[in-house]
Amino acid sequence: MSKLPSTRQVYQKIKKSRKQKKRMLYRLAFGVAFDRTMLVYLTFFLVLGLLWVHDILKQTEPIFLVAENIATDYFFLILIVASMRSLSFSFTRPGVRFSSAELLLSMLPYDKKKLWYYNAFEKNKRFSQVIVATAALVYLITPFTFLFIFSVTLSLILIECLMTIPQWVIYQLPWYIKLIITQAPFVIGLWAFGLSFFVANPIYLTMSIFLFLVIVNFLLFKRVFQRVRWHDVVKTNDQLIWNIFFISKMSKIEIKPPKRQGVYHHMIRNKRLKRPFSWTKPQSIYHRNIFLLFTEQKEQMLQGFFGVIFILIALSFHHPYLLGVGIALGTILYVQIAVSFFVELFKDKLIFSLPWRIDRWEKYFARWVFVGSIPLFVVLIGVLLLFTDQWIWIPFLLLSYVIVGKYFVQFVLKSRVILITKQSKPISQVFSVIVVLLFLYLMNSTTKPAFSILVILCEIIRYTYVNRTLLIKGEQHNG
Amino acid sequence: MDGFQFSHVTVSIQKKHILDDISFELKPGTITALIGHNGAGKSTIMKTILGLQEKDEGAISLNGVGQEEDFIQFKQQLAYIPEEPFLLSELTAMQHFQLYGESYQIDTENLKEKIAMYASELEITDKLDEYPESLSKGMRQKVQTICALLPDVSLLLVDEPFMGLDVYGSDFLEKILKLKKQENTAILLTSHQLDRIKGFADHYIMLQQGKVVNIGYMEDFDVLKRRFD
Repeated sequence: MSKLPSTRQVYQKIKKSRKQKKRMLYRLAFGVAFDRTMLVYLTFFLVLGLLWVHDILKQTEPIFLVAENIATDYFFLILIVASMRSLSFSFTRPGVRFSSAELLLSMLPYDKKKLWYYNAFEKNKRFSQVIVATAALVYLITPFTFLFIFSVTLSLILIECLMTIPQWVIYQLPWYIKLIITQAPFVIGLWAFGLSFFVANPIYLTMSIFLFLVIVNFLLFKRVFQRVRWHDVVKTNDQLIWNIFFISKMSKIEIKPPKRQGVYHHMIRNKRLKRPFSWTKPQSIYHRNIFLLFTEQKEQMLQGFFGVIFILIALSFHHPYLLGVGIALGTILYVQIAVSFFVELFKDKLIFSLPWRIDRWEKYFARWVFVGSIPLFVVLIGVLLLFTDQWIWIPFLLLSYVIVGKYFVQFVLKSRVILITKQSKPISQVFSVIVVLLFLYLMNSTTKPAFSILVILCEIIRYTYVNRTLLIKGEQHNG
Repeated sequence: MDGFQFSHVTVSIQKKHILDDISFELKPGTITALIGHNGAGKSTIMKTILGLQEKDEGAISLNGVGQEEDFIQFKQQLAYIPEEPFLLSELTAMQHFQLYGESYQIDTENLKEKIAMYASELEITDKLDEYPESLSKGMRQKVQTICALLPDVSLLLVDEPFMGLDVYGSDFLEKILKLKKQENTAILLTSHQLDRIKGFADHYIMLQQGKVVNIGYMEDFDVLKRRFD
C-alpha cells in the first residue's frame, strides 16, 4: 500500500496546479490582448516613464522630507489605518483564502487546521512580496529616506500578519457585532492621539499598538476554528481566487465579486420594505433597484464623490479661472461617475433578461443623480463664498449649474442607453454641440458670471417652447 | 414575419466554438425540445437568444424584430425560465412579480389575477413576502417560473422546466405549457427528462458538440431515444 502524502505535500500540489491554471489563463488572455512586440515597447516606455517621474519628484525633495517628518511624528496613524483596512475587509472577506479545494482536502484524511495555517502563511508571504516590491519602487523613484520606507514596510507587514486572525474571526460574526468592532480603531486612534500629547517618543505609542494587537491575537487564537461559516468562507474565496480582472475582461466571462452583506443588507430587511410595491406608484420599483445599486457600490461612489470635492477645493485657491475649470471638471466627473452605475443596473441577469422600460429607468435614475449632487452644491456654495468677490452672482451661477448639470446627465445617460440597448442611432450633433458649449461656459463661469443669465434665459425659452409644443400636440391628439 | 428565426449562429468562448453555425425556426403554437448531452450547447442557445451570451455570427429575430435591431422590443416578446433561478436577493417573491409586471407592461388587475392564480396553483401563496434566501430551491424555481408565465409573449424559453419542481408543480407546469401553446406561444425547452417531454413536445432539435445533428417530429421519439442512449 502506498504511503499517503502529507498535508503539506498535498497543499503544495494544489497550490502548484492553481498557479499553472492561472498561468495558462493569463497566457490565453495576454495572447488576445498583446503581442510580443507591443509588450517590449510597453516595458520600454514604462521604464522611461519611471525615470521621468523620478526626475520630477527629485525636484520636490523638501516637500517629501516635510511629509516624512509629519508621518514619523504620527506613525501610529499609519498603523491604525492599516488595521482598519483589514477590519473593513472583514465584512466581505475572511482574509485567509481557504477555498473549496482546501475544504475538499479536509474531507479526505488531511488536517484542516494545518491547511488553514499554510493558507495564512501563504497570504502573508504574498502580501510581504507585494509590499516589498512596492517599497523598492517607491525607494527608487521618490526622495523618501531608506529608514522611513523600511519602517513603514516592516510595520505594514507586521500589521497584516497580526490582523490575519482578527479579520478571520470577525468575518464569522453577525453583522451588528462586526459594526461595533469596526468602530474600535477610531476609539484606539482617538486614545492614541490624546496620548501623543503626553508621550514624548512616538516609538512607545507604536509599540503599544503592536502590543495590543499581540494580546488580541493571543485571545482570539482559540476561536479560529470555532463557529466558522465554512460555506460562506469557501464561496467568497473561490470568487476571489478566480476573479482575475484581466482574464475576465479578455475572456468576457464575468465573475461577480462577493456581495457585501453589510449594514444596509440587514437594514433593508425590515417589515415595511417586505411589503409589495405600491400598485398605483410603479416608480417605487425603480427607486428600490436604484437604491440597492448605490448602496452596493457605495465605496466606489464615495471615492468618486470625494475626488470631485478634492478637485473643487484644490483648484479654488489659485485663480477664479481655475475655480471655473474645477467646477467644469468636477461636474463632468461627477456626472460620469454617477451615470457609470446606470449600466451596472442591467448587469444583473434577471434585470438584463427583462424588456426594460428604458425611459422610466432613465428618468428615475437621473433623479437620484440630482439628489446625490446636493452635498456637492453645499461645498460649491462654500467655495464660491470664500473665493469669489462677486456674491451677487452666486444665486444665478448656482441656478445655471443646475441647468448645465441636467444637460450633462441627459447627455451621458443617452450615450449609456445607446450602449446597452445596442441602438445604432447616435446622439444628435446639436445636443453634442450644446453640451460642449455648456462645458466652456462652466470653465468661464467664475470669471464671466453674467453668462449665467444667458444660460437661464435660454433654458426658460426652451422650456416654454417645449411645453407649448407638447400642449399643442396634446390638444391636437385629444381633438 | 411570424415566428422565431435562429439563423447561422456561431458562439465561441476563448476561441472554442460552443455553437457552430446553428439554424432553426419555431412556429407560433408549437413546443420544441432541445435535446443533447451535457455541454451540447442547449443552455448557450437560450442565453444567446436572451443576449446574455454574445454571438460571433448569425442573426436572431422574433416576429420580424431582430435581436440587434431593437433589443428591447425583441425582449418584450419573450420570457425565460432558467435552469437555476436567478432572483434578486433584495426583492421578495411578490416584488419580483411586480417588477415583471412593470417591465412587460401588464395591466395591474390582470397582473394581480395572474399572480393569485399561479401562486395558488403552485402553492406559494404564503411565501409571497419572503426573500429568495429564505425559500427552498424548489420554491425559488416556482417563483422564477411564475415570473416568466405572467406576461403573454410570443416565445417562451424554458431551461430544464421540471428541475427542482415537485410532482404537482411539474404537472401544473406541463398543463400551463400546453395552455400557452394553445394561446399561440412558441415554446423552446431543454430537458433531460425525455419521457416527460415526449408527451407534449411537437418537435425536437438534437444537438451534439455545438452542432445540430437532427431536427424532427417528436413522434419519431423512439428512434431518437435509441440514438440518445
